[in-house]
Amino acid sequence: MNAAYFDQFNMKKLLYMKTSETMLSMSNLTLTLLIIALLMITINKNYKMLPNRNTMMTHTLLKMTLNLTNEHMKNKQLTYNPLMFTMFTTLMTMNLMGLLPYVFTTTSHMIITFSLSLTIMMKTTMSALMKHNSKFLSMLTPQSAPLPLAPFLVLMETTSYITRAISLGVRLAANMSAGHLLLTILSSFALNTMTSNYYLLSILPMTALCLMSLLEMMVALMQAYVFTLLTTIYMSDTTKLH
Amino acid sequence: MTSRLFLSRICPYSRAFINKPLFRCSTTTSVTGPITDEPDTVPKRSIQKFLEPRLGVTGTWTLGLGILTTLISKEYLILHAETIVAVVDFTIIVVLYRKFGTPIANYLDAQIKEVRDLLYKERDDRVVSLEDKITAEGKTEDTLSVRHDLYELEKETNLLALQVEFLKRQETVNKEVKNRLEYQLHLERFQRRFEQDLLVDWLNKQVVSAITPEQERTTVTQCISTLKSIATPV
Repeated sequence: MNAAYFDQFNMKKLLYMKTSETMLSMSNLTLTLLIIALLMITINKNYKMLPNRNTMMTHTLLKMTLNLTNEHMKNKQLTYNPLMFTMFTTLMTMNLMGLLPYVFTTTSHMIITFSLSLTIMMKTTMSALMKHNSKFLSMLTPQSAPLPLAPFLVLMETTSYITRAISLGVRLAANMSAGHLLLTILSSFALNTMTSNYYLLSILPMTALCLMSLLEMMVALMQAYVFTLLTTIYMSDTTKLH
Repeated sequence: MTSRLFLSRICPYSRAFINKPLFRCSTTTSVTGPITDEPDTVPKRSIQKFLEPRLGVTGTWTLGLGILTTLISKEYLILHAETIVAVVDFTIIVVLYRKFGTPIANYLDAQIKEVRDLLYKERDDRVVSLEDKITAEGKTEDTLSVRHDLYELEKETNLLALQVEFLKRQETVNKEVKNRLEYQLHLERFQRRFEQDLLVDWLNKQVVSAITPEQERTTVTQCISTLKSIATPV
């Protein structure tokens, strides 16, 4: 019974081709990602000079990410804004699509969120090392820290830096999976009460389900924004150091 | 107009873009209100329009419910927890659309209008500047058309001046020719007179040399006698 709630996160092979060494397969995750990619390509395609509502919506999101990058990376905003915008819209689309019924939530899987977060952290670390060389390690000591505490602070900061990569990925995956789990639990509770003798009691779980769905939509948007914001902050930390 | 009618016939979805009422009220029915152009929710209108003459007003709903019941009974559509989530999500989306759709659309339309106004302003400013240039070019052309008149005037003036010069030179030539002719005339006259004088002198000389002393004496005596005859009083 309890395991059924986690069935929604199972990755199933849809098409597979077994070779001598490996198995090439297309899973529900791949299919959802392909659909999202197609959606991203087709929605934001506008070759016209005069904008329509869809284009203006994209412009609004672009302005939002531009403000974000401008706030944290003043000199490099035009360099990093496309990455932030793409990341934000992709994550938002993935999260919101996962909320639709019978659709597989891609961002509830660590493979997706970790691949993003680890790539970002690797990129920021490598670019900081290339730019600042050994001075990059000064980031591990907070400014105006007393010298006797420095060794412990460095250890703590190193741990904190390493866990950034993990926390960035885990935050998104945990929020998504927890939200979907809660929705499944509430919906099964509502169905059980509806099909029981006390069907009028199903109003309460239905109300909770409505509110939770609304909350999950907000969480989906917020998590995408938080991911992008933290990525911007981490990038700016490593480029500016202090 | 014709192309819009044609488009509305071949593509029902285009009705959403064509500002045309779907129903025309008959003069036999009493209609108090105006014909309003409702926004076209395409699938509903097309399906209703197709089924209503065949099944009646409630026919569409009956057909829909019947299809739904068939799907559920044959377990094509399985009712489980996810179905409730689907219903709830659909309801939330409809509620959000109804509540926030218009304000968001108005906001986006305002943004679009800003961009369009900016683009149109640039285009209109360019058109105005080009029109001003055209007007200025016309004025310049009008101003420069005076040069033809000036040219004609200059030409006439020059022609007159040439004519005057010609007449002056002609007069000079006349004078010179006249002088030369007069000179020739004077020369001839002088020559004739000189010849006359020479001839007269020679004649006189010959006559005088031919006169003998006896003839001279005779002539003088005759002259004295004549004079005496004249001098006597009557």
